[in-house]
Amino acid sequence: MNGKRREACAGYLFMTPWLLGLFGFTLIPMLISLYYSFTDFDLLTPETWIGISNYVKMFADKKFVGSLGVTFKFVFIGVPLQLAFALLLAVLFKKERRGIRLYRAAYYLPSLFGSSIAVAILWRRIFNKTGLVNQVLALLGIQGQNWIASPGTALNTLIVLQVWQFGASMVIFLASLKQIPTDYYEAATLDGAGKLRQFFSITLPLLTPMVFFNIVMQFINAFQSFTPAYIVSSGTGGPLNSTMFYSLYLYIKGFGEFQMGYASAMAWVLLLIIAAFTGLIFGTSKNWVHYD
Amino acid sequence: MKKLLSILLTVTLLISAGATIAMAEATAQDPVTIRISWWGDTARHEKYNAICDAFQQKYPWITVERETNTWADYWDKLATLTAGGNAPDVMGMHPQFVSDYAGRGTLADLQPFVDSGVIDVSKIDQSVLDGGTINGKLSMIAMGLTVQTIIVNKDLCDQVGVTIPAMGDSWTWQQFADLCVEFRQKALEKGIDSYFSNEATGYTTFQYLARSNGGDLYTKEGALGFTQADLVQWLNYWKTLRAQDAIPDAATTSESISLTMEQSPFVTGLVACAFIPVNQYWQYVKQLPDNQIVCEFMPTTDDGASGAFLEGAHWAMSANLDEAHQNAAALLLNFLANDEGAWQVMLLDQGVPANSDMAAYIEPLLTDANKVAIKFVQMVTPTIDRAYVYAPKGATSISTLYTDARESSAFETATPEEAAATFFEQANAVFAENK
Repeated sequence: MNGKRREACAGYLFMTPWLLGLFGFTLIPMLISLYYSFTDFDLLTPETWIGISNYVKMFADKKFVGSLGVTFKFVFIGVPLQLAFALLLAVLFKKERRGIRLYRAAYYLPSLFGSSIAVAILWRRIFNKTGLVNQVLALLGIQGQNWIASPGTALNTLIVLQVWQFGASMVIFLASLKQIPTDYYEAATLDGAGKLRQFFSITLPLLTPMVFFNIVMQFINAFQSFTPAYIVSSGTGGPLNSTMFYSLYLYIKGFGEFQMGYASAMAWVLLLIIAAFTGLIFGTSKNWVHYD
Repeated sequence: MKKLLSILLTVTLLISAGATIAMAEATAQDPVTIRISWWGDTARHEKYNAICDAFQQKYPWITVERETNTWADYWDKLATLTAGGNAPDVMGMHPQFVSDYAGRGTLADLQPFVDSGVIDVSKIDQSVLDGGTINGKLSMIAMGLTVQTIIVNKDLCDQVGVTIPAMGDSWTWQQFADLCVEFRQKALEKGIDSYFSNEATGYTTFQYLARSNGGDLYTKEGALGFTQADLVQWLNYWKTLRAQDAIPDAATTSESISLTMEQSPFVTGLVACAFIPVNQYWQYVKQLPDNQIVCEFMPTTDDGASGAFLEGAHWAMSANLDEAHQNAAALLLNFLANDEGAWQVMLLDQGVPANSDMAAYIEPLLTDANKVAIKFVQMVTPTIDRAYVYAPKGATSISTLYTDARESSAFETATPEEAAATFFEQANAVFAENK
């Protein structure tokens, strides 16, 4: 008994750094932000309790609704495209060929940079009026527009940026592709199934656990995306609020316009939205995820 | 025995009192570290660094820690720092934001330091001091004064074949528009892909129109100081020019806001003029050394009403300081406003010194470009008919709403009338909330 207790003690002791982080940087700040979300808090003077007013105000805030639309578009176009791209490349890179390791590394590289500031600045350079994209288009005799500064295309450049960071998902797909026993394919070939048929009847069903994992992770990430929009629009969400991501609007409200109570309420709504979508994916998963 | 005790007590009292006095003297010389924070570009960072060094040399017991930022990041960070109780001891302050801070009690009242003589304001004009007084408290001290100008690349205009007014001649918004059209037409005939002007995107530029129409951005009571018709007129003005291809397309305008000076359309030659505060004139001259750059007045209404007003670079002190830090911070504020050691480095970078002695002191040190700027400020000053009204609490939201209105009109997702109506509706809601 005494030994067991000592063991437990040691266990908690080893967990202390993590526990301190959990309480100090996550749990307690979250609870405080929950409290602030029910207050009128301008950062500089003490907060006043206003009940659910912040939450009610959100529905009438056109910019809030707009930022929700921008974020949904970004998530629901960006994430599926990114995963499809990752899967395609994983299949291409599956077979051992000469120099294949180099290719795998090279294609993984962009996701190492992640949604870093340097990449976002690079993006601005590539898609502006005299940028790389327009230079290539000019070679083809097409007069390109200013992609970053036009309300119609600014968000699309950020979706391309999201798709470009397919590396992490690709590696996960690649690892699980190699787990699929080759005799499944041999049997299918003998039965006369073509490559495409093999992909949809063997590869994809066996990969569904990884597809499931990747969708959940990327959804959560994409909903909270902040850096690309902040850098590309110089922190304004412009042009014409076309890159006003949810978290960017939250940041502007909290730190730019002294409405931290409202920003806190927005953060909690975002948490609910992410929880709802993750729940939805989990709920439907038993119908399409196959664990053999 | 009793007598002895009372003597002993008295002596002890005297000694401890003496010690207290001695200690009080020592604290003035005790090492103290204060933090200062400002916004700007690399050139300005270098200047302020040199000024802080000079200050430390003069007051060796004070160490100055420096925090630098770009304009936009400065305000985000200042809000966060202030909220956490870590506001810099001395901070750059601006009329656009001062109410958001002073109105919430985060800036120290500087009057006691003026009264005790630490901060000398005797050489600063009373109207300038009034400009730093928010709700009856002296919340910030002006360092330099400046006005808006339109800088024009005269060589580019000569090349295209248009004539511009001489420096000091007034012109109207209508003449400005005609010049935009004429310039573009002649430029295209000569095969030059340039425009005369970009759309003036700044809220400050619109302030000129609002003021020349008799209003301002805000009223003293903290409401909007212009009419919906003013805003419609302004948005329509640029819309009409854009429809005639007399200014660049909306995307180009939108992008140019976030470009650095080196990449700005004026420096690259896409446009022949730019709206800037005149203290930045020398920097543009430095960018285009082979071109003659002229400072023009801001245009007036058809009947000649000018919207001119003095702007300033200001310094404020955090309200959250103990006595030792307050005293050191006050010395630094005084140094920034009144010391030759600061001004021989700063020159005109923050505008003409608010301290009249310093203005005279730097005159022989100035370059030709700086002398032009000083002359320009002197030419504009007589046309100023009233001080401008400070932005009330919530002004940050208002300037965002202005950008929304301007962009929705420029990208034609709303007519100027619709954009102005939306602006007024939302701005009034902001004011109602901040009441």
